[in-house]
Amino acid sequence: MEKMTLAETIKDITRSHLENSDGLLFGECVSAVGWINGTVPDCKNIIELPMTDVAGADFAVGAALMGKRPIFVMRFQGFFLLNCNAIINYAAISKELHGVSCPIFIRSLGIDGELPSHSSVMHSVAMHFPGMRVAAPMTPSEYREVWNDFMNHDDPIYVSEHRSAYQNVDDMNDELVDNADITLYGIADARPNMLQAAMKLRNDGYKVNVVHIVSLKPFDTDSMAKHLTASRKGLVIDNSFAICGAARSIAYELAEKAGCFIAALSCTDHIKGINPLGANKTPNCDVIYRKAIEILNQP
Amino acid sequence: MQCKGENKRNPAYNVDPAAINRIDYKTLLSIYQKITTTRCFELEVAQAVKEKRIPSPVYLSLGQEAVAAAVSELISGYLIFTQHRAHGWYLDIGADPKMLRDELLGLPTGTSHGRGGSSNLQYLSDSIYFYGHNSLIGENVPQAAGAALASHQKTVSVFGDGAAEEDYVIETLGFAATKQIPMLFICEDNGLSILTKTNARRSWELVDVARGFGVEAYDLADCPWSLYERISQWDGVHPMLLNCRVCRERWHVGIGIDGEREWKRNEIVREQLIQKGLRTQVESIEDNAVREAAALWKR
Repeated sequence: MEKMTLAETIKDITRSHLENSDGLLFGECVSAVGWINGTVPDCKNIIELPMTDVAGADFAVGAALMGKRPIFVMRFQGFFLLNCNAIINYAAISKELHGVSCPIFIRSLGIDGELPSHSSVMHSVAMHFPGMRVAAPMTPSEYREVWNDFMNHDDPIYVSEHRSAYQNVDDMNDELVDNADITLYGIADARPNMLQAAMKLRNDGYKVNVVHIVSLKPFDTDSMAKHLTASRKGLVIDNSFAICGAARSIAYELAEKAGCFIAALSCTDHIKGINPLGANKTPNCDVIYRKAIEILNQP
Repeated sequence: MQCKGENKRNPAYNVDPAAINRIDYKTLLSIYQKITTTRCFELEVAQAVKEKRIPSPVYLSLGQEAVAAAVSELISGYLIFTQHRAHGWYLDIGADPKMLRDELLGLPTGTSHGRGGSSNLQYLSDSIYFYGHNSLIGENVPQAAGAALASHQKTVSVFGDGAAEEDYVIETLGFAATKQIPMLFICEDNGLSILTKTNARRSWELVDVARGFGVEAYDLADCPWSLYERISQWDGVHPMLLNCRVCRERWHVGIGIDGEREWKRNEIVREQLIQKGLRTQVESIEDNAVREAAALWKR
């Protein structure tokens, strides 16, 4: 049987939830132009929202309180700033404050080279707040794992997607070697770039561990830090902004656990944009490679 | 400056003086009992604040009791989403007063383990569905719509004239009209946002906005008899809005008094019942309410 792409997998999961489990999906312009990059099926229980980026997520909150485990879709991660209040200040706190869970599957689509207000990646913002789970799946099997995690817990989960991953079919497995010189940790669409950079480093003769991070919060520090036992040097690479970002946060946790310095590499403290010269895209292979060499050259 | 709405701030505004004659005595007295119970409870709260027994801000229902007292007679089994000023609603729907007291006192036996306080109330039981608020005005309204849409249950959302200006409320009126959600919008319009009068904030009336969306809407003073009749006539299928003109008796937050109330609904109601020959029952209700509130707060 032909393997499903990530987009087809999301569509399949969604169809099953809406048709078989009486779930609901909320979003703006869901049925317009390609059904959210081919990730949403044409089936029952899709709620087309008015263009309300302030109240929209609250409709999903209400449905979550009714046990519908709604999927809430934001076409661009940048829109999380408009929609986040219902998620952060209600869905995420309801269980701890009121003892009432409010599980919502928040699909937030990332993209590079778009408008500054659209291109920003927001999973670091979501990580900041109590009560949130955050994941960044890039392959079909990872997405199913994240969905199952959602269905097995009762917290809202922010799912940081990236449009560049929708045609992915194959798994991306960790690559671990004995006596590694450095361990690279990749998040979201930084991961394919990390794989290229690892190849380049290996061509230079370095032994490189490659680790894929899917669950950003909760983050399994114990397991992830074990990969540093030999290398004692690491680099976390992410596609969100650097300051207060996921890469720095995770690097700090790893460093504290492993007792060694771990660097972080993310988008710079500048806006993203459509101009290729100033797009401030996810760190590419060359940027990752140079940063890794810099780390490797440190005593 | 003459406010468009200011001449509507009188106790007889759109009130049917004959409504009281069409309601049975049992209901009349039940409504008065709720008004009185809330007043006595709130006066005890004010005393507890004075004595510094309550560690967090309080939003008193004093002066605004009649709306909850009347509406609560007719919403048994409904989903209820109230706002920050909701002590009266909480008590009138039959939720446990001890838990409300404990929440105000910051005790773990409170409605939200003493962590939310006055403005974050909730109460869920086999027969009462009073969902927690997060203290952000208006946000409970789209949550109510989402819950009603998902569950097909009749739902009440309560908010103030300040919240009516929030995107949350305006969008939800449109959403409820579009999806024909079985939802009651109750605006407790005290003409004040903190202490800023409505005419300094807006030139429009909420009922006009609601009607513009196709929502059946009524604007009237807080006469419990007229409110009771109006709700009794709701079809329970299409959304309906009641803008209820009320008089807040104390500060927006806290126990201070800004000045004389424009009218005293509790006294008007009392006089109406006495004129109907119910003095004995009225005085009995008052005695009981005072005694029960004192016992609850153990002064």
